[in-house]
Amino acid sequence: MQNVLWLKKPIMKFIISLGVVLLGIVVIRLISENHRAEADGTIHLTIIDIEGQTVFDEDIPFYQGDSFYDVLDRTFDLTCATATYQQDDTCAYTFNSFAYQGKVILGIKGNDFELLSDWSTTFLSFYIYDGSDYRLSTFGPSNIPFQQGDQFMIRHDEVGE
Amino acid sequence: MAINQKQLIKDTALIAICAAVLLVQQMAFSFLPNVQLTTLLVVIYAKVLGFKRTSLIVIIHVLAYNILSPFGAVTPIHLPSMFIGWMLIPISLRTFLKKVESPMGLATFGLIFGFVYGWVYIPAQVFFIGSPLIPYLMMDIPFEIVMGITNFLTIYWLYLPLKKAFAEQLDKFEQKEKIDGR
Repeated sequence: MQNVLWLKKPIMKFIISLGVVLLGIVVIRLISENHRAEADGTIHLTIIDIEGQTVFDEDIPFYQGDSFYDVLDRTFDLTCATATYQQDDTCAYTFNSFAYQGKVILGIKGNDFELLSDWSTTFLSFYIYDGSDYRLSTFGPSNIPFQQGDQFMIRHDEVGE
Repeated sequence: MAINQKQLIKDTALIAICAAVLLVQQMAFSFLPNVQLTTLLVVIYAKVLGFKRTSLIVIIHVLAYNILSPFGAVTPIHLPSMFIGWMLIPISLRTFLKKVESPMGLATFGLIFGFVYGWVYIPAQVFFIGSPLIPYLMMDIPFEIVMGITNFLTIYWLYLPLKKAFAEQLDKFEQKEKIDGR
């Protein structure tokens, strides 16, 4: 009987530990939901260069199933970061740790403008218009939630400004 | 040498060693966000060494970590938050959790502490850095969960054996002092 109890204790501990880990994973999965377009539409995008000049200020289309990154990728030539934050025009690398998921955009090139950050002295910051002001996004470009008529701003900023 | 002075020297050495262990393990784990043995060790220190000595260990740890961290110092605005965060363990174990000794009870405290430690940084982050409260809270949840789970698992599995080993070493040291003092 004692042998059975001796066995039971570590098994119970293991089951409780596993339960706590699984619960944590489920909660993290639930709050890290993937934001994709539920229908076709347009968003308004303003892009501001390092001098503070507006270089793009237009509506751009999105389609059902698009992420915010997909919308930008279809409209502009993007430069993304590799795992070591080097510039990569192919945007092949996707960050996939539990808290950092998706693409890191280092550069955007349009028909008549180009913003290119180096991540250490300059970076691209993403803002979401909340009805009264532009607020800094807490989501990366792959996971910014959006719907028809939303307004966004991308700024080329210097670090420490 | 007076007994008090001997005790003082002994305590100083003990506090320095404990703070060094705390610092080294936190640096060793620093490449994994919020995975560490710090909560487990501070809980053991608080239970075995008491409030005063644990508080000194926490002070040394917070200062040393910020000076020596390979990822650079935490901004001065966050230093008080870090100190308050870690001090919550000895304060809790000295007051309303004084009678809690079971690994399960302490592991549950560790799980909750993972969240509380994250919330302690909110005032500095919101009022001084200017981060928006709700998005910051939401974005911090995964890190809090990881810290809570790490705390739960390490305390649940390692608290009793580590506390026993630490208390035994401390007893041996005390016995040796008595024998040498004769």
